[in-house]
Amino acid sequence: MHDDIEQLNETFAAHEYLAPDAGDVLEKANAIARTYCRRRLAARATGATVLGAGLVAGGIALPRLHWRSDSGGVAIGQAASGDGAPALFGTPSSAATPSPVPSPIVSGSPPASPSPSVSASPSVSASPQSFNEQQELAAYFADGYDYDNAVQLSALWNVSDIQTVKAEAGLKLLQGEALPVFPSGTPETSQEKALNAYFAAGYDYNDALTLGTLWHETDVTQIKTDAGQKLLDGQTLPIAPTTPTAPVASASDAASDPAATAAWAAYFAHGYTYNDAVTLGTLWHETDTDQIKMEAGQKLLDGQTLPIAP
Amino acid sequence: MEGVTFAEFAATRLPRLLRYAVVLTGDRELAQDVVQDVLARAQVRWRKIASADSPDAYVRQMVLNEYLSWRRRWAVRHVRAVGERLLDLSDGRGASRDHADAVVDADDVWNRLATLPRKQRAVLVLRYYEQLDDDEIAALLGCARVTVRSNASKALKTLRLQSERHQVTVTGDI
Repeated sequence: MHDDIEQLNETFAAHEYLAPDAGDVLEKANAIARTYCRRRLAARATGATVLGAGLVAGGIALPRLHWRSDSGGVAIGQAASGDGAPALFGTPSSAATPSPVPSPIVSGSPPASPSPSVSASPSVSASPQSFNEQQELAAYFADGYDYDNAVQLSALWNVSDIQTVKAEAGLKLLQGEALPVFPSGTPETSQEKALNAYFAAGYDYNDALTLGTLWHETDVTQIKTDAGQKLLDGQTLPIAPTTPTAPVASASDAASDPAATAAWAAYFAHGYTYNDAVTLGTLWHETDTDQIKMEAGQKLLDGQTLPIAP
Repeated sequence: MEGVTFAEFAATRLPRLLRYAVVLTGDRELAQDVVQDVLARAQVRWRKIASADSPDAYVRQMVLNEYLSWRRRWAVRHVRAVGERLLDLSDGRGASRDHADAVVDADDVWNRLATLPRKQRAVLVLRYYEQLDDDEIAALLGCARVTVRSNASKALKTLRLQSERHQVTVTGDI
């Protein structure tokens, strides 16, 4: 037995030299990846369905794909690759071959601009407004879509990266487009917005009890909702929050920090509550519930799971 | 490793990944095809991979999955040539007789490995080349630990039987 293992180890080691040249492999991988991206972008632009790396269903009259040259927004190809694939998306001309004829499928979209590089997205429905990924994710969750919906969409769009699917879906929602699946959850109600504002301001359950005493109200949920609505209306509450709000997480500032907004939205969209944050805090040895919610939300956005169920 | 760019990953990990692929597949061309496809897909979804606990392990898992699902007829395409090349390489370096024997043995085992079902070969590679325990292998292959042990046992038995048959044949020839 021992001889077998030794012989196997020697055999494996002796044949490692057969490994192909790394530079050659990388070059060919780049070429394949460029093909994937071109097909995917063409399919998205024409509304076709990418069935696989080599198959695209639907008409592909490759539309004019505008690649943004600045670094402000997120182009899909760049978003998908991250900044780690310079060889893959080297230049706009190599990344997507423009066609002189825009697809009739998208003729309803306004022309992007005479400029060849104004679109934040390779989609021809070039929105004049660009969104970053966090905003796209926030929009996705705020409309009641969740992870399961992203899985459904990933199957429909044949995009395996769930994070990319969520961002793409969020972008469509921001652009006023409908998604081909119904949200599992429900869009934020006014009560949810109020509750989110309440917690985002740093108030917690104990604060609600105190407020209840002041307001002669015993329904804690109602107290939090009323308090949150007051905050949304720009009013102040008669008590300060027990847990000071993290600067990026306050209701008013969250909009200016898309990352915090998205993490925050993800946390609540997954059904987690303040009490869950307290439980997580115990596990993580963290007392700042705002920070916990954002960290937990970021984990959810990253596709990780939390140690407790909502 | 977290936050590493694809370019950094390729620069530091690709040679080792290719060695793993060639040992796993037993075929230079297949290893190249598998790794090329995996890298192409990995580039497109690098953001997700980079956020994984171990991007390296993630990509290696992709290589394993790709190999196990590969549909091409690849078995024994280049096996004989591979063995000959290794032997030629050794002789060309003027190695000692003992070393030459070892090389012949390695070629022989390599050729016999090529006859194993893919999953059995993968188990041996993961266990002895990657030095993973059976629980880790089971997780990678998505099967039970007992299945891993069963595959390893069958594979080793097959290799031994072939070796015995080979020795009988050699002895008979003499």
